Amino acid sequence: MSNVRVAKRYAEAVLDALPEGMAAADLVAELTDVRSSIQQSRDLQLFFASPVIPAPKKAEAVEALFAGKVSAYVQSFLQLLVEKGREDVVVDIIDAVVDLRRTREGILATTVHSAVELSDQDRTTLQEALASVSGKRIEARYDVNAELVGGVTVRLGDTVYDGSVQHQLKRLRDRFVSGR
Amino acid sequence: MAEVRPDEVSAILRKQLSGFESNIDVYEVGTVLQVGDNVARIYGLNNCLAGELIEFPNDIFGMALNLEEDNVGCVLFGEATGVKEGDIVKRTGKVASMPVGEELLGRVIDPLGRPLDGRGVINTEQLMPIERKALGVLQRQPVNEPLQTGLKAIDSMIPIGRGQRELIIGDRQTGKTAVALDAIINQKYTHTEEAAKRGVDPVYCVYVAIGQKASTVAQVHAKLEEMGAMAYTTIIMADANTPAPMQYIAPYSGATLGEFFRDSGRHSLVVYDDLSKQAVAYRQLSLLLRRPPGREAYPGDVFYLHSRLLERASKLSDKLGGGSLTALPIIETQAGDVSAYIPTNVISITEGQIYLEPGLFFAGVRPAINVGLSVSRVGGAAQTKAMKKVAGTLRLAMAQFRELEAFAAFGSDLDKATQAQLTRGERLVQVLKQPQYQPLSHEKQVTILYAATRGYLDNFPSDTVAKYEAGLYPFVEERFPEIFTKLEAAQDITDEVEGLLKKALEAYGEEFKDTIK
Repeated sequence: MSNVRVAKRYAEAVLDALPEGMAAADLVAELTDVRSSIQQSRDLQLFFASPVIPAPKKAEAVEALFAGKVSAYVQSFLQLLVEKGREDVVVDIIDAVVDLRRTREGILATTVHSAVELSDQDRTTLQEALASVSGKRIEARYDVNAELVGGVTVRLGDTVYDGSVQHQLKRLRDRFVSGR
Repeated sequence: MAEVRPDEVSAILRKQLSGFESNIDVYEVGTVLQVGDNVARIYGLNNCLAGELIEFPNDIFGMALNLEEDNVGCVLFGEATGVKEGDIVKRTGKVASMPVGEELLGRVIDPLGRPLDGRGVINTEQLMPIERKALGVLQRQPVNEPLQTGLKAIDSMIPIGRGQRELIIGDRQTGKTAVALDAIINQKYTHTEEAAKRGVDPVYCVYVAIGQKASTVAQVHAKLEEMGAMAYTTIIMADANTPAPMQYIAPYSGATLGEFFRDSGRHSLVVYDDLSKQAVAYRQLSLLLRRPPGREAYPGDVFYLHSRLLERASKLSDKLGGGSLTALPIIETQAGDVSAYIPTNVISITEGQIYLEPGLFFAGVRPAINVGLSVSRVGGAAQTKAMKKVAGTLRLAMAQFRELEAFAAFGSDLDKATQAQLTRGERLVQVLKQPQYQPLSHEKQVTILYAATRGYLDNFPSDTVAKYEAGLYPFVEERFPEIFTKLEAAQDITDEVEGLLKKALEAYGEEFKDTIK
């Protein structure tokens, strides 16, 4: 839990302190690369997570790994995290940066679950409808889940729009059980 | 069984389901981050209200108590074993509420209004929130009607009025519950036609058991059933086995049910047995929700916990129907320490207390009420004129007796006046004793107290007082029945009644003298 709070703080700072000439999109792109390289290597994950390895060792490793591959700004940000002993939450921080940038630009990420593959036309209609409901731009991923039986469910933030047959069957069952 | 035709079945089903809507359902969700000890932390639920009911999987409900920057702290009303990390929870948009209605009378329910007595579903029409704001000044009026407990010591010296809050406080095993039960049993009279003729309105009772042994509650239930008191009583049970959140909300449920009767112009009596256990349950919750502990590790708002509950006791103004909610909270002290945190809090909230002492209890004075330390701050206004006439001298005589008791222990020669006071005091102590589950009617109380305070008992040894009392009521009923009827009609000792009383007591004294030889 505390990780979420820490990640939010660092994410805000790294976006606010962006040097001139660097776009937020570039930063996000670079950080996403960093995240994928961390996630691909279990050794690197363990290396960052280990409290036994001293900070200077970690700093050297970060230098060796990312020098030349990322901008100076991202490089120094990673060095700062190592210095502050926060290298173990680096993935959480990158996720928070991605989320924060979306919120700032009025983009809402969501996953649409449907029972069958949606056609392109359905997707655009749905996306437009969601945009008008939320007043934000929608960045949607599509997922097919046969368990829904029919219909779609969309989660925008904490609100779920549930139009699935599965949910309706559940409500029907509840109605039978409660006898109303 | 007659055969059911398939086409008939589908026709019925179609008819039943025609009202079923296929709209898109919109609800708000969160994810369980952490769960244990009946407390869950939830991520999400951004628009959640404080005190809102949250739906967990497996039909478990919870209540949001802590709204924090990045999570919601929630207490569970069911077993936490059915909830795991990552579960999706839903907002219900409702605050915790319970069903209310006359249908609940005679039933044993849990604090959310679900039946526990195995006697089937309770079909009530109304739902009321468990936490409600207490009424303001304009909706109320001063306490002016008596609530008869049927106990001589209380009705005479510590009178309780309808709409009052009177604390029953004492160590374990001193008869706290017994006092409250007698008060409930004595309300049976208010439901009779006789009472209705005399203008006495019925009192509906709610007994809230918090953190007690289930066996104790079963005993209480059996006793109330046996005495015919369950007809107008509901038992709300959150025994020691129920999760702490249930124990925490139980008294509020009791108050809600009492308010249902009060708001419909009727009278209710709610017994909270006991609030020390509720405070302990609330402390457990608060600490698990990581609220900072204060004195005795109770959270900072433990005073508000009890004050907002007891503030709901009230006597409504005539414009609102004149209903009332009388609260009898019970507090258990540890080794007679009334200056502990919770006892002092509740003493300061209530309008008086009935203080029960183990010393008196073991000396055979039962109910073990310490009449010196017990007070009722507003009940006097609700006392009948007849009771006021006998109780005024009673209080004084008891106070003088307590003062002299110490001297008498030295056994030195005492002057006549002192001896008379001691004799009177000893008889009074005997008269105020009363067996359990035998509440006395108002007119009988006045008669025996009149006899005791006017010295009709002084000539008999103090160990014959119980016998004297037992014989007195049948004697009066048989030979001077007009005393009881007139006392009850006028609620006052008129000159005529006083003359009759004197005559009756003299005659009975003569008769009684012969029986004790």
